[in-house]
Amino acid sequence: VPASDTRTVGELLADCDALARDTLLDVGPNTGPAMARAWGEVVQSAAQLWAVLPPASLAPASGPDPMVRLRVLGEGLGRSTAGRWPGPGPQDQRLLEIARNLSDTRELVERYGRDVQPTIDPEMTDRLTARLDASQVAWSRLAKRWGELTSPDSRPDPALARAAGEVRAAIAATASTPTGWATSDQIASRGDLNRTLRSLHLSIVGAVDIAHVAREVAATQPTLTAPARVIAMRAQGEAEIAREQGVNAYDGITWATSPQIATNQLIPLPGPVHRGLVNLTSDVIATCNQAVATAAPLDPSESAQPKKSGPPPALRRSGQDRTMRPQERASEGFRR
Amino acid sequence: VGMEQMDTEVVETVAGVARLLRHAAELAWTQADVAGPRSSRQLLALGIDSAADEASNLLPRRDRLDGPTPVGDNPAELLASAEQLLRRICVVGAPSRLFGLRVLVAELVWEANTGAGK
Repeated sequence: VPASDTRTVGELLADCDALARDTLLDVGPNTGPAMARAWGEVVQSAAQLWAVLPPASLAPASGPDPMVRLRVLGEGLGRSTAGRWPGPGPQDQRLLEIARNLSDTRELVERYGRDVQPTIDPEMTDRLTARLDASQVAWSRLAKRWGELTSPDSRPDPALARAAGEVRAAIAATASTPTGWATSDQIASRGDLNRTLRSLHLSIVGAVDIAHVAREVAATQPTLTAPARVIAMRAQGEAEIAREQGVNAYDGITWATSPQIATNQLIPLPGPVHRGLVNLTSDVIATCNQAVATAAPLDPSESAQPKKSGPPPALRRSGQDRTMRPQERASEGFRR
Repeated sequence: VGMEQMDTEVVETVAGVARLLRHAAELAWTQADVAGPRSSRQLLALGIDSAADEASNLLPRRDRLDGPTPVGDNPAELLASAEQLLRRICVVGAPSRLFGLRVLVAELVWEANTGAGK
């Protein structure tokens, strides 16, 4: 690991996750060959990291190790790419960076893993609090943007409204009093802190998935519409931001006609408005990833158990499949 | 009585309530943003948002919700206005969801005037 690289294991893995998602967003016929050439290195690095991570459970694995199959597939693809398609050529740089990150992670685990204890120190709490604050601000900005693009006549998805009501009721019951937030002692007396910790970690990790879905919808959904007046205002603002960043493609374009503005007609989102949403969502993703990396020590489902030697549970393998299927989720779309 | 059977006056009143609540939610979120990411005002803003959603969903899809933005910059006062409007239409025989919304808004009025939202 280069001395200048100060990333933690959690941050390295979070970067891998972000790079993999970015790579999948750009997949096309032209990028396939370079990705195929780099795939073997990614799998090899992943398998080497997998080998040094202790299993999540001491019980015998209930099924075949998925890494074995991946490794076999990777080696087969490696032989194929060297001999036939796609032949010699450049490798995808993002996949190579993922491979490097995975190798650096393995080195860190080998070097420090066995000395690390699963503790939650006050400094970690402060860092995580700051990350969550930043994430909350980014989400709030994004929510406000989606909100202003919503037609005044639209109806919210009842399931979403119900879920929001339940979240509010849960927060009020556990963390609120008639005069503001409850004290930490009050909160501790009202619920199971270990379960809360697990839920918090799951929520932080889940937020990354949701943020990626939001970005994909913002970037690729052609059916999004919004009232003409807000589109005219937002598109102009985003075009000016783009110009400041050296993008002149939006100069001189009228985004909504006078009749459309007069009747506040619903019209498709133009490029700059998509761009603004994508940029705001990218901020959300970045802050969520930082929170995930900082919260890695909260990962253990048995975090309250007595300390024992070995890498922190955050570094353990998990058989859980949290693979996102963007197309499926994106197709659900936004109702409002 | 189902929501589809509401007469025109009731529908217009509920649309007015929805606009009042939506505007109150916008103001409450702005106040929460100004107060910072750990502000307890978020809870009130989320509650008003939920009430506005419920009011919108009470109306049949064919009815339009757009209209003049309500005057006022105090979420508590806008909530109180919404509650007064609801009181006028929550009469015997009105849909039960209308009564539920009135209870929700009344709780939010109390919360905005006494608790975290102030």
